Amino acid sequence: MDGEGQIEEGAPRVSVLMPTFNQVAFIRRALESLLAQTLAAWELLIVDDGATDGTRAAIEPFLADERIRYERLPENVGLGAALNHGLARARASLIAYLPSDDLFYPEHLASLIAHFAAEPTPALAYSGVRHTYNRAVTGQIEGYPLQLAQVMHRRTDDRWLERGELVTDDLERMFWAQLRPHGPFVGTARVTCEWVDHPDQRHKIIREPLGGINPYRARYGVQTPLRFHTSVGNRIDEVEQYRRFRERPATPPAEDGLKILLVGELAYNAERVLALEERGHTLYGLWMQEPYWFNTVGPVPFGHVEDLPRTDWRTAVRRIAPDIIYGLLNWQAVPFVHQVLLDNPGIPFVWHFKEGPFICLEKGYWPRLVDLQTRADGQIYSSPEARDWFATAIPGAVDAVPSLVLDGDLPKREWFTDRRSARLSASDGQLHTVVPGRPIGLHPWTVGELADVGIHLHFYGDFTQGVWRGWIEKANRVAEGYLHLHPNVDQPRWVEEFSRYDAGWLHLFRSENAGDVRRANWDDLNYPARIATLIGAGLPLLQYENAGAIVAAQNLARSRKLGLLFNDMGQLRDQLRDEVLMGRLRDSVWSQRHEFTFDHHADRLVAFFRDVIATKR
Amino acid sequence: MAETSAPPQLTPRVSVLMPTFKQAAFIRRALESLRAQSFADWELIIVDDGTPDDTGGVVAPYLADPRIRYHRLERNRGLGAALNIATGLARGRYLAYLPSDDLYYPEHLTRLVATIEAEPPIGLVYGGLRWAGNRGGPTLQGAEAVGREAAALANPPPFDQRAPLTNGNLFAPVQVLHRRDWPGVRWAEREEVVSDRLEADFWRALLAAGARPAYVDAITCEWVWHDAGRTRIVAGPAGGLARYRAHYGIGRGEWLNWQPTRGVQVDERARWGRFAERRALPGPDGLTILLAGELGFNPERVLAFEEAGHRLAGLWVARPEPWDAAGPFPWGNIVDIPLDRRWVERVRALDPDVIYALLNWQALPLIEAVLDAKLGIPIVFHFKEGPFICLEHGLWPLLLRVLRESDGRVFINDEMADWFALATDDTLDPETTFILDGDLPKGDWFDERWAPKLSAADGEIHTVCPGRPLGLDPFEEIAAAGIHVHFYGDHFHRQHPNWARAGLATGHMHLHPTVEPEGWVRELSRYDAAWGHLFDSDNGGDLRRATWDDLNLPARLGTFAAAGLPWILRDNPDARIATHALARRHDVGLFSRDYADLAAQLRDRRRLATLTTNMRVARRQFAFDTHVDALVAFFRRVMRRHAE
Repeated sequence: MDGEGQIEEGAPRVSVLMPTFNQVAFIRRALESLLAQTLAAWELLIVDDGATDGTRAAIEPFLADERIRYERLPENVGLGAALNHGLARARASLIAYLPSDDLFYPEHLASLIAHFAAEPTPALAYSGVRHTYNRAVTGQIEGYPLQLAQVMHRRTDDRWLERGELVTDDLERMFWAQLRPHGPFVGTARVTCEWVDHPDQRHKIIREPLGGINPYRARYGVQTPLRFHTSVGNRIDEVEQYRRFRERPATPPAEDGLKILLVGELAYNAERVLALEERGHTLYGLWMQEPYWFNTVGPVPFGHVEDLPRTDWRTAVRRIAPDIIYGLLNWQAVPFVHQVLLDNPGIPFVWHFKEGPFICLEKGYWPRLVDLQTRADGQIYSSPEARDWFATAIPGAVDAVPSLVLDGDLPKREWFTDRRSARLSASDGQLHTVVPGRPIGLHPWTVGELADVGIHLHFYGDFTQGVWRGWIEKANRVAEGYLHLHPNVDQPRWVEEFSRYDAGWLHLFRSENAGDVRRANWDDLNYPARIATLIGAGLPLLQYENAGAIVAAQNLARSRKLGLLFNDMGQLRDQLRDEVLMGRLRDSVWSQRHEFTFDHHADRLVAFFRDVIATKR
Repeated sequence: MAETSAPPQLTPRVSVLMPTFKQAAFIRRALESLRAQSFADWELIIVDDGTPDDTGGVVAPYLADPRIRYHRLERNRGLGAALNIATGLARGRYLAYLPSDDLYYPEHLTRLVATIEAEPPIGLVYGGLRWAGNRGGPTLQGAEAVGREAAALANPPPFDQRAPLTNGNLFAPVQVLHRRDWPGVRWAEREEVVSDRLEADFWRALLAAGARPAYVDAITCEWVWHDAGRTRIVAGPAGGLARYRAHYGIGRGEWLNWQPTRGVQVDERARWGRFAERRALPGPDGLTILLAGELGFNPERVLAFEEAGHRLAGLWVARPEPWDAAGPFPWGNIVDIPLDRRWVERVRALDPDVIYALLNWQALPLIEAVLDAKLGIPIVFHFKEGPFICLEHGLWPLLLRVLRESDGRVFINDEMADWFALATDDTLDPETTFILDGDLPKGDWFDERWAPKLSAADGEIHTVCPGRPLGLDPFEEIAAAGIHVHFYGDHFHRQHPNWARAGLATGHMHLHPTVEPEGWVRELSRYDAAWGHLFDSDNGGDLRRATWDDLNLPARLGTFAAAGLPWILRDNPDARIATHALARRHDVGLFSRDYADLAAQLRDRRRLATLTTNMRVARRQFAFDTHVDALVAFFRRVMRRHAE
């Protein structure tokens, strides 16, 4: 290792890497704090990761300092690749990081560097850090990996994980773990930097539930499919999952094919819209900003949708002259779709709304939702019960324009494979049920009731399990051996994984509407997205019998013979044990399952679009 | 004149009263639910409380039903007046309420009427209701209140800052039906008081007049809980006086006695009535100044502009926080520009000389809209709180844009200016930079009604805390040092119940109601010293490490100055702290590390007298009026540069 004596006059002792992307409002503060360091023998390498906000001009005056180098990448490649670009060009034997939104205190570099004189030479030293406005810790922040600003390490041939490999907020996994074999990590125990707390921090954009894959894609304008796994979320592999769609050739437009402009967000099972493209229609996308993690927005990872620019979309709409605007889907999209409705230059406009009217009331979006429900040229309701509710809530609106009932986020046909697995119950003689998402209404004591009658519950989803940790502890106490946790399962494996079970849980609740749709709440009107997941795997649906109440999922299960309704767990066990009943139910589900794909309804949807277009003329 | 559609011929059994204002998006749902009632013998009296939206158009088709009457008030008069007017028009034996954003379930009237007629002595019946999402039950205080309604109204649950309701109400109007005539029982009108207690007060009066209540034993209706409901506008976490005045379009010359159960209370006439008669005298070369944003504390200070011969207009944020003042105001001659689709043309027509954009982070989106409008008018941006909250809320890029694109910048102190110079690595052009605290009080409150010191009479030490007690812990130590603390403000008592309770137990805490600015000198000059925010700073003299405590000038400093009170501060010898620098500049600070040290300093009567004298001598520096001419001179300088 380099000792003091070997350092050339003027040669930098530490290379500070500053990756930056669209943080022009922050970067000067970071640079100022570096210039104020008591240790002067540093070099700075600014890696501009394709910023589009004038960062170059803002840092121009700093380049007069010959210690500062600036390199611009032609387009955004992500943190890992930007840091590797910097590592490859670093000249000093020590590396530090100053993300452009963070801040060093004047003695930061000097304090860290002093620790590299110790024996054995550490691989990495880290300072304390101020975070979350005014909190500070003298070491690693609990619940977070070491942060870039607090770290200094020896130069190494190790490389950061790049976006093409994995997107994660976990810096330990991206890099620090590789350094651990090289020597100890030592702390200075002094707070000498700040991890500046603001909503646009990378880990917040990435980490669910406030961040997530869609916020990340939107923020960085990622055009490629992602492998994405945060420290709290489910593992997502878009590369594999969507390869079959992305790599197939585009469908030639049909002679009477429509130009369909999708506006808003697609939520779950977003690739379903390819069923429209497969029929020779052309898809365009105009997406809401600031999606929640499940609000799918473009650029879509499955291809075949051309995005319109968010700025000056009006010009782009005039250029492509779509035949129809298809606005969708959940409450988060209401303000943006409403804006497009108001500025719509006369193109037939269909509004498809799922979740939900009550949250719009709470958020103050109700007047805008009423506009969408009354001024669009066609309405799509996500369930008959939702339509009936709107008929009471906005009298006159339902019959005023053509309308259709279609669930909002049905899956694509391809995931409904024939790869059924053997049922667990056939081998062990026990009863096995599955909840493929939030166990809503399944309280810990409910799981205890299930265990008491010998029913196992298989709970899927790492992210949900993280959020429901306390629930899991309690349920395990009262249902020992009957609660089983499994990682999330993506669409391609739905059938083979879930078909192992006897039946699957919808949200469990007692309705209070007593048959009056005015009293309905969201549980009553909603078709949970998991309905299609379970049906696709051939599983009967489980829910409380809500006699006399209007419950969309119950009406569906009852009228089409898709599930079991029960009042208590003993009754449920008896039904699950009834081989004849269950055999009939399974056959019924299996024979109808393709009606729960979006593809099954695509022609009906297009016919509806044509109807709206004709009516508008 | 108000217009009323013709009354029906027959006397109905139930008169349903529907006051409505700005609820065109809701009212159809309410009307539909009424028409779906299994009980048909009703009349509906819609009182349109001067709504500016298309309620009239939405309601028009329903007026074909002869049971429905529509009465429009020319201007908004408030819920109480609208209900009294509706009551006066009612002809039914019973009154029921259907606010235009609520709804009945189909059996509502059937069940309520059946119950009230089952036992003649019953005066008021109520159905259970759903509210606030999935909450539901017989009353707003749950099932326990059934059968003890009067007691529940008289003894509401303790104040809970986080509860959806803080007013102790028992019934939402939508759930109630009662006999029509109860002499002397009426809804309080806006001219008397504005409060979220409106409903509870009315039910209490009805019960006191002898109306016996009964529950129908079923949930029959919904109080639709949404962002723009009156209760939430008055006392919700995002409600407040400014939002209320803006929502209902209450303008100049209309004074409110503002008494929400959550948030700061103020009787506007009592506080600001002295400014009612004052007329602006535009000087020959007076400026037209457009205030854009919000004013924080001490809003009446801007009258000093009018007194100096300038004209004021206001473009106000739509959603100030409850503590934050924004127009329209009852006092002054401010021309309010409503924030509607036409505000840009209105500003152009007004053609102000300068836009004075201010003050806290909430104002930034509005100021951005002003920048985007490219009006060609010079903009002076005055920024107080705060850079850190802007970071937290994602407003940092916008803050920097506003700082950069404004023609002039006003920072509240040198520390804040220096902090920004570091954060933007920029030197501030002194020609376009000005230093002035953001919400200094109006000088009128700095009167000469000095009171004798309490300590002179009893030999004890008496200090005052006229706001949040930040850092005054543990109180037992303060008491042990022999220091009395006089804690002012009902609002703060409610917010810090445990601290107040612990303090009262020592005998060294004394609670006093809110002191209005009019009483600052008379009431507060009795004390020896006043508590600033006590905190430990670890910035070590480096502003890069500063927190808001270090940069802020708490609004209470103006109050202390008016009353000539030395400031109690925690000594942080190595730190750079704006409040401390100011205290040192005027030599008005008592710096101590612990309460025993503080008590010793407070017992040094000679030193205390010096500090008191210093504060009295310097106090005019803490009145906004003192700085108006310099600020206007700065405006003019910015205007000249802009013209060039």
